[in-house]
Amino acid sequence: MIRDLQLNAGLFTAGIIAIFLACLLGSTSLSIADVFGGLTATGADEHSVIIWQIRLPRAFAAFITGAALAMSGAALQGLLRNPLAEPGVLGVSAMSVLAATLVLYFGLATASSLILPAAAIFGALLATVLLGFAALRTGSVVTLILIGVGISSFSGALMSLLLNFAPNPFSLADMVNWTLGSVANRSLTDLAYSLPFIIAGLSLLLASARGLSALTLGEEAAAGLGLNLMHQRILVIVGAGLATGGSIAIAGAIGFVGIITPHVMRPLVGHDPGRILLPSALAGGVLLVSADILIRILPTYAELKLGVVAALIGAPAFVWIAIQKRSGGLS
Amino acid sequence: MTQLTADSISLNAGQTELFAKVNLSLSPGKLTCLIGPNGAGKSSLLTCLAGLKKPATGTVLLNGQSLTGMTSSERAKQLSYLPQNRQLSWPVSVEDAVALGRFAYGGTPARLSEADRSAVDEALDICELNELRSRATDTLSGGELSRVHFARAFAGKTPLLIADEPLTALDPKHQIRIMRLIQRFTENGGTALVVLHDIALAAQFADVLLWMRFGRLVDEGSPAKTLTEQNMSRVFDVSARIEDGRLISIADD
Repeated sequence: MIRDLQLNAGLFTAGIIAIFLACLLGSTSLSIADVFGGLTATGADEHSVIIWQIRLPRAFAAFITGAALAMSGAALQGLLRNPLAEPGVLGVSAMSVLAATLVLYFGLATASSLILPAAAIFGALLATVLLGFAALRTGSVVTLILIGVGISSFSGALMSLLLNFAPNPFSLADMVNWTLGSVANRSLTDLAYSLPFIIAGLSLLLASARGLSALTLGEEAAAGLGLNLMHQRILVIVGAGLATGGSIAIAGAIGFVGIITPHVMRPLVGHDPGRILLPSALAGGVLLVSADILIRILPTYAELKLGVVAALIGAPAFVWIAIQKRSGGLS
Repeated sequence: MTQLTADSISLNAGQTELFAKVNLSLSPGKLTCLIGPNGAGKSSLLTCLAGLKKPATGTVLLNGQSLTGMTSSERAKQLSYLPQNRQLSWPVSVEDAVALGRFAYGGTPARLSEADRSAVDEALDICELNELRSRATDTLSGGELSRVHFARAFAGKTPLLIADEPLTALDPKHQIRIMRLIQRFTENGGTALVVLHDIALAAQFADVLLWMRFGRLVDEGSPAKTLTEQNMSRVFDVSARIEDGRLISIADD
């Protein structure tokens, strides 16, 4: 549809602008010409370093994380037919952070750069598979969300246990930083390790788009239309697990992006859960890049963590969406 | 000609028998109504006939081919199924909801081929939804919404239609309107199987009545032949007065 194309093109442009602004703004003031010079490595060396080593990786990290979380949220909402589903709410993020923190706790992360993303993805997949089995046993979406809350709380409890046993203040600070969620000090290499998983996950989610549209009619009618429900569940669960896990390996836990972004995009795509995926990903990216710019230029005593800001804005929005919720979905 | 036959099928849920030894054959151009009390196993039978559940014993054949052996999109091109649950999860537009009927052909609301689009337009036309096509489905009345579901089924252009209690919560005028839609479908050569609770309407519109009780088909035939005080009593446990093939009154025993 032409309208969808315009929407996606607009969001894509917004993404480029946001990433450019992220390169432009910061503690060292650069001019637009400096940014172009730095990007193309034709300007001063220090500008190149600032752009390529600090600001661009950080902006990319924010964009990729936002895109992965928002599309995962949109797909899970379509699968469960409930606008409150999201990796954070369903305990996928908490389990993933727990797995990543365990690796940090036992000092395994230094052995290979792949271990941390692998652990985060393993944790996310474990939670999504648990949810998948639960979804087979119960027809009730409310029960499923409660199971997610349970997974989240239990992972949180184990996290507290790890923090409790932290051998020294430094590793405690290290682990706490993880749980807060941030895209500061990421290198392009860090991104490169997680990116393949995220791309694989997002591809699976995009492949599920048609099925998500069909699920608008409910599972029974969708099966009657020729949708293979089991394939559909596996696509979304594995896709959301890979994308969420990959994003957590980059940035730690950042909540509520997966709930707010699809909520804003939904009316723009005629509430179609299939068409919402791509715009959600682009808008989620723009949202986190913008939030991260804000954090960097706010004159706070200690730099705010992205995850903290996301939760401060996201949690009240979650409550608001729950109150506003129109008919359907909840059963 | 599309033919659906069930040969001695049965289905259990754990230890409980849902239905057993059901033999039936749906003929093209005929409107068949399945009637029976709550819990008789009608909905379970429909899910098997629609190919969504594999019967524990026996086979369902669609044009001589086993229904459970077909791919889901092959099956969906032959057979439309309207379940009891008519609630839509998202307030999509009427047009988009109807376009979901093209799923088996690879169409989605976002991307419809020429053939998809004309099938959707035709279905909207038949169900008189043209003026409502861009309305959000959560602003529709119950009657309008049930027409949307039928349009969705017709958009698939399937020769077979299976609907589970499509008249629930509709006023008499809308009930008639829906029955006329189904009638028109069978008059054009389609095969329809519909579960109904309104015996009078079933007798008025059906070519064939299937009487079901305790998971068994106990009688089948034209309304003129099978709508009897005896069937009403043994299937529904009520004493009915029937004159000239018309149901006059019902009282509990």
